[in-house]
Amino acid sequence: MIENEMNGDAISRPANRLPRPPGELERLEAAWAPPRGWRRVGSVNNVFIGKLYIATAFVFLLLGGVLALLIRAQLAAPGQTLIDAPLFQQLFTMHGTVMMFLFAVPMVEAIAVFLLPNMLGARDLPFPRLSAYSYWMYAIGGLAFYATLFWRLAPDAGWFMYPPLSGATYSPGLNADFWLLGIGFIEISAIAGAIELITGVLMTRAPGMRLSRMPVYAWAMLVVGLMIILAFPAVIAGTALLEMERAFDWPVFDATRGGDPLLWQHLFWFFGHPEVYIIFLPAAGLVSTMVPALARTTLVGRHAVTAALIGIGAVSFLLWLHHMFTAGLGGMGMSLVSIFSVAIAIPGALQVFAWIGTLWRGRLQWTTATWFLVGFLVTFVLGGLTGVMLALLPIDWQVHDTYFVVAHFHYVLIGGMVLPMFAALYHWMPLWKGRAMSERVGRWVFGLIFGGFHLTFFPMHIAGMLGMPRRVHTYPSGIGLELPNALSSVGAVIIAVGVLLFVIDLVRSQRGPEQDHEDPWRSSTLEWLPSENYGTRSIPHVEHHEPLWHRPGLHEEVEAGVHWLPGTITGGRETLLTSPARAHPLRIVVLAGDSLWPLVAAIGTAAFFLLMTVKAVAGTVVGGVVAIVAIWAWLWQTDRAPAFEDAEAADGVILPMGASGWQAPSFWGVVILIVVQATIFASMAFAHLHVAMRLDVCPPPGAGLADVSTLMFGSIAYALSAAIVMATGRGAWRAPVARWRAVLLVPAFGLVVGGFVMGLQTAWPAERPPTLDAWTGTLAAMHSLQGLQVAVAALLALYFGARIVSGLVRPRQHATREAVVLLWGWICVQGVVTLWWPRWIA
Amino acid sequence: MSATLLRPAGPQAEALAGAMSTALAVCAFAFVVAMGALAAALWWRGRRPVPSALWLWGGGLVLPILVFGGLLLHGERQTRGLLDPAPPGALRIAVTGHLWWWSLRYDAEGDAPAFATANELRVPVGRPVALTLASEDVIHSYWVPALGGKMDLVPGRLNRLTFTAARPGVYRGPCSEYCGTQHATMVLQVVAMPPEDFARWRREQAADPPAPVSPRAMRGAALFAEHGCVSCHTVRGSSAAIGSAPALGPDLTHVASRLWLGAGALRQRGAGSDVADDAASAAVGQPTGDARPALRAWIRDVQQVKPGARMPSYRHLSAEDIEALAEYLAEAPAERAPAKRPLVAATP
Repeated sequence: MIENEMNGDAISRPANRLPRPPGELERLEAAWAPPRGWRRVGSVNNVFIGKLYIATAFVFLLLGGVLALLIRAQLAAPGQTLIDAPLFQQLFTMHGTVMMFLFAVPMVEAIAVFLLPNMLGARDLPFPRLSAYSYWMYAIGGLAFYATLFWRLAPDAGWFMYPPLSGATYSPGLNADFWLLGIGFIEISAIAGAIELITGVLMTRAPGMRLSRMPVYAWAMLVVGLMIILAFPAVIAGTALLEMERAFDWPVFDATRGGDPLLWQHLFWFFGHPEVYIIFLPAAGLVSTMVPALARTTLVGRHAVTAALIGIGAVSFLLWLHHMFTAGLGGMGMSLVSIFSVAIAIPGALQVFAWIGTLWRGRLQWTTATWFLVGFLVTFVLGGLTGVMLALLPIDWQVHDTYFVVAHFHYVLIGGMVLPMFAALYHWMPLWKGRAMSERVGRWVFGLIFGGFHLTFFPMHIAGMLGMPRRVHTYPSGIGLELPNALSSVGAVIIAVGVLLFVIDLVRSQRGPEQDHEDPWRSSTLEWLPSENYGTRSIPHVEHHEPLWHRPGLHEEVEAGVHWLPGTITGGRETLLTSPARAHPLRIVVLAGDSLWPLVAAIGTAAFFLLMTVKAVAGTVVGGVVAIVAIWAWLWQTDRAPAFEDAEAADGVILPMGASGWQAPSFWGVVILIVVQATIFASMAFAHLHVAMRLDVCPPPGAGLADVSTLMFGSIAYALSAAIVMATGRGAWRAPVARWRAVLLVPAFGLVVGGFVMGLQTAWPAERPPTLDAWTGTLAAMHSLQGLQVAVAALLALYFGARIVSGLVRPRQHATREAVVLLWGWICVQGVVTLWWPRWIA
Repeated sequence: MSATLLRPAGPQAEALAGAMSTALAVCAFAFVVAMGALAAALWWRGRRPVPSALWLWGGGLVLPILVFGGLLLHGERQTRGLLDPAPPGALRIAVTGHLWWWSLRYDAEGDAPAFATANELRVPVGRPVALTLASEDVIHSYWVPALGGKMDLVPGRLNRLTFTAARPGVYRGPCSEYCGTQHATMVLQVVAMPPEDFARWRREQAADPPAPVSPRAMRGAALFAEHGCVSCHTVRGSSAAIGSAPALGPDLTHVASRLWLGAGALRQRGAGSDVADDAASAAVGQPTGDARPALRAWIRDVQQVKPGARMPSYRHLSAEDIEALAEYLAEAPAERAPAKRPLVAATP
């Protein structure tokens, strides 16, 4: 390897000899060929899953839009009785829920699944089967959830489900349970996506693509991935607590028993506020990619824009209280949150002016995407400004929860995400089948959607100021609300016509066989290289942040196989692992291949949650077993050492094959999973702290606390257990783990059970059942979470034991061992904290 | 009836409206600046290169800090004191949210006794009003845009809000936290009256209604007890009142004096004039017309008027029975009622 002193790279661009050996390309194609016939559904490749994912999310946009049209029909005139109040409430709850959870978040993840590996020069995401699992779970669960509308069983407590309205007393039906369990598990799919994105961005970039050269979009997805794993757990914990309150009557949010309805709002908005940036940042990343491509110049302030993305991501976690300005919390805190809420507009403004500056500098190509981007800038700036207004306490006190807010968040969500999404669909559509959509029809689509949008939502500002609260199923005549509402309803129809026209043109333009897209906009990023299921023929070596402009010959070089990894070594699907910061090629890893198991696992998981909601016990058990068996089968095929110790990644560059220990993506995937678990647990612990702080005396009279010696015993049990598991697989990197050592997992599991049972016995006296008050209820919730972890420990022990007994834990394939040690360690830590938590708080 | 924050009728609403209009103007300015730059970037052929730093530091930092920082400071100044505790002489009223109506309890002051009413908050012009806000069931939100800000009614918490009405008028206050089926029909009417009118109203409200005299009203009183109305509703002074049990439904003492029935579901009485212009200010909020048609319609078919309300329809009652109940609740012998009369003729 020759040091490239010129640009400080430790690696140089590979120059594989040409022509490539015969049969190399065919072998690569064979390795990545999707299964044929009905087995196609078992394809896990990011191109296949990404397309399905995008299409499904788009279908949910249409389904959510139908609900919006029904809402606008009812509100078109005052005092209408077209749709009765209960149905109307299901409609707006479903509209919000579908748009947020089944359209917006999945869509941004879907675009990333499709686009990101190619943009990074990776062959696929690091865990293709996880992508497939999370997609199928989302698709099945989402459709089943939507279908509840047809039985009038859809949730109706508003998309943020405030208790007590969503509690068992005021929402006794199954409706709320569908929200809590349905959305709860769809969030798991979002988290799985986030694990993919983070590890993908940090570990599988093309060699030479250091962080400073990484596309802004990849930065955006990295930030979003981190935000998802920190924000979503809060709402998972919240939904679990609310579901426990509903199902077991453990009071958490019930004020009559020491709970606090505002606790839900804290948990929900700790997720809910970052959520809007989770939706917006990917769109901003797409804009930062499209604007330079269309203006034919690099982005103004690339690094500043990247910093702005990170800043927005960080600050977004400090703002949740601004959804509670009228809850009567009072004090300095509110002013501080108001300042933060205004301050987050600064990195927003910076991006806007960076885009305007780029357009100013460049020579613009006026495509339909350009129009949508201009529409985005107009709309988003307006929505951002009303956002600043809402961040001001005196304004929020008036227009909070009115149509002014409805107008604002449609401006930022449709303006900030849907319009960029349409721009992206037009811009990247040639990557789908090589066929662009009609530019002529595109102008009409843009005009209708943009015009219809402003006609729909601008009058809503006025309706709000005229005194129209949100979520009303009707409004009286005579207070000036007739005209704004009539305009909104007309506008909604115009948007619908625009979207319909888009769908028609989509179907029309995408007929016919695949063809080469020929890089129609002359963009600068790697996804425009000629690519197939396997990504590019050879993985490009990146020397610049606009690689295709910097090296115009890259298309041909990559296609000819001059760059990295031009074929397959093992006959399987391989990609390069590179170092996180500087993207040095480190290893070649073999990715998991196509399999039906993720699909089966997703069906089982969906059945488990949905049948549990309707309390079909037998079905729930079957679903759970199917899911576990399928996941077991899927994992069993992974963590196998590749046939070769090392291989040539490019002429003269030998890299080791396979990865174990902290170099493996799976290691970091598990670490992220533990962060998620820790955040869920922390949210529950916070819930307990919150209700404890509202008590006059803590612990409440009669509750008592476990004595220190018992707690010490429990802690020692957990510690010992973790040590045993660590010892079980010791030395796996040196020699195969002896089969007898699987026996060690029995006492390890026994100790975990012991610690758990000890905690249960001492946590609360029998005369204070969890139904008594929120203090005991939240404690019971924490112990339930630990109980779930004990079940996980059982599965881990079984699986790990089976791997050991089968002789599969051995040198170069001990990622399973690391994963088990990490997860087991966290289970023990969580167990110890659960034991001590009430005592620490008291 | 005024329902907009753009026509403030008190100092608090005035301050909030001031913050709103300033912010609207400043944001409109910022929007024009940004859009001007965008339009120039897209279409102006004579544009010269602009250094990146100017875009980033100027547009991305200095401009927003100046504009938004100014707005923050201005908003802070506008709202100083809005959240302070109410001054000593304030009129104290406890507001409790229910599914889907408002119960109101006026504190005793001086020799004026405490009393309960529902859905219609009458206040004197010019005197601060201190509300304590609580909820009996789910979260609601108090919001009378023409008279100031919004405050949630959260179970387990007691929130406070102070406002002063500067002009007589009827002001609409829709519940503005989604609270279930009839969220849209949970409207509080605030009637601001000249102080002397308020004093009279207060005296009349606190007094027990006169015993029914006409045979039909007497029959109505009997039916009121017989059909279980009393298990949810109180009519003070009647033998059927069951004292201080928690109110499941609105207090119906002097219900006929209210402008609306069912928390904004049915217009019951005219109100002289809704908006205070000088000529009519004396008549603002004075109930006019006959209350009985609305009462009849309500009793006969609540579930038609306000579907989901926690009161059954009484369609099975005969027209005569419903007439009797309405007569009783209207508290006046209809034969002698003038076509247009001022407040309820109860004598203290």
